[in-house]
Amino acid sequence: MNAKRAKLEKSYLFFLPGALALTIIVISLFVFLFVNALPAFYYAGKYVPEFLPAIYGTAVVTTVAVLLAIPLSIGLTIFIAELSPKAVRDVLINISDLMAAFPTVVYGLWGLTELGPFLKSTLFAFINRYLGFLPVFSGTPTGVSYLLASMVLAVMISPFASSLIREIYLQVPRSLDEGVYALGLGRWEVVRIRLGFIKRGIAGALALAFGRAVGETVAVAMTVGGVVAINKSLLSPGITIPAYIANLFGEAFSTVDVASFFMLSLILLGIGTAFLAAARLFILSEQREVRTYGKA
Amino acid sequence: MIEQGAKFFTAPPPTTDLGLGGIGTVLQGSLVLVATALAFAAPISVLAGAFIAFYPNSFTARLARQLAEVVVEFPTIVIGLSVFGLFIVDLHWGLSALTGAIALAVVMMPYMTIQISEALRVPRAMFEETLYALGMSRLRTMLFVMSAGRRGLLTGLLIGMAKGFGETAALLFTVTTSFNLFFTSFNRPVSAIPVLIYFYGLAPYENWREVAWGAAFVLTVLVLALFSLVRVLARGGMSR
Repeated sequence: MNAKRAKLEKSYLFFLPGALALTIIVISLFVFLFVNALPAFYYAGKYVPEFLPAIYGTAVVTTVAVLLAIPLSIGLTIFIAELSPKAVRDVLINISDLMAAFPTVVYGLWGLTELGPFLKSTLFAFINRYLGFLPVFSGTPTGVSYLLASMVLAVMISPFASSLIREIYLQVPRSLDEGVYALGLGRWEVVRIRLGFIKRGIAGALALAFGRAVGETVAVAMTVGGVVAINKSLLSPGITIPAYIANLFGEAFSTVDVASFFMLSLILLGIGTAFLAAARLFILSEQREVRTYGKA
Repeated sequence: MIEQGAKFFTAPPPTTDLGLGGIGTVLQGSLVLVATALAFAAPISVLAGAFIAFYPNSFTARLARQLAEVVVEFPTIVIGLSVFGLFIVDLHWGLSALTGAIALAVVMMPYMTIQISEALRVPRAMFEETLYALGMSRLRTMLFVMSAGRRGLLTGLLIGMAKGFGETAALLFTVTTSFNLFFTSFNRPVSAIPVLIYFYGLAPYENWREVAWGAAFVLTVLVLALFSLVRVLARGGMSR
């Protein structure tokens, strides 16, 4: 009874509009997306072949990026958590957080004008020459490609993934370490066992990174090449969903085919959100397990 | 790690086509956009964040929080697309500074809200009971907590600003791609730094790409400055 009256206090009413505004804005965003995508669902068949290269590209680029990010992020985590001297640690964490929040255009520009040409003449040429018989690495390497986009994306998501992993890593109880030492193993083994312990957490962090990477537009758009086709080689250019939207929306707009783009965005959203939700579940279950470790 | 290779840092005269102008138009455009977006987003974020911090168990707060978390991870291009569709197409506003600012605001809001709500949790826990025990009214308590946590609030706003300056995808459709205009009024199109970097960086003209690098340099300095400010504030921490 007191709670009811408290709700009508002016303090509540003072702040309430803010929260309401936020809620309404977000919900209307969703509604708007759906409503605009609806017309496209009728002609779904017509659009699928057009979108397929984009979907393929997104799948490929994001997957490879996450694969590349695994060693990067775990390495970074271990370096920060175990290897770096105390003085350096905070600086590293700050730099890493900074990198995670950096404007993505700059990453894209760097990837396009510096990393791309550099890799084209060194690493990519190398891969092409020796592993070129594999269809994955065939064709002459161009300045932009799936692989380049993946690498830039990997660099972009690693700091983020690393900070997530670091948090979970540091939560592993000391009793585990002591057990390992008691068995006569050394420092590296402790690290490895800890990592194995939080496997699910790492998977969750990576899935989270995947979800974010799926939506990354600019850096990928600049480095993937904008070629709307399915190319089997990683070294050739392609397109991903957000890059597709970015590049082609201008033309499509005039031909009133707009609804299809909304449908495409919904697909993108669906993929991203699915991964993010799964990731959160992973991480939550992991944290629960870590916390209850050792309590029989 | 990330080499800036700023080959040419140009001063703010307007951009030209084949020569080597500057980034004046986009700089001004970005400033205007971010300022306007902040004007929209800051009040909503602060209020919503405070609401979530102070009434965490209410239905509205939980709903708002969940929605904010979902939207934070949204691909920003989708947000730009939606704002474009809603305002530019359906309402026939046409490209204008206002739509760009709205798109930016929508992108900044969830992030700032969550930051602020987190930032307010600590001061609230620290002060709330004492203040109530002293007989302060509810509203006054909250205002006090907010002022005690103003560092955190400022941090949230600053980070939102930084994101606003660097946000590209949301602006791609709501901001013009002709970069020659200075800002006149809210109904005319305007452009922004990251969009310039995007388009000029992809262009085949060598000098355009150099301009893109110059712009990237400026953007980096800007963002770094904002983040350093944040860190200075964070170190100040909770006085007392």
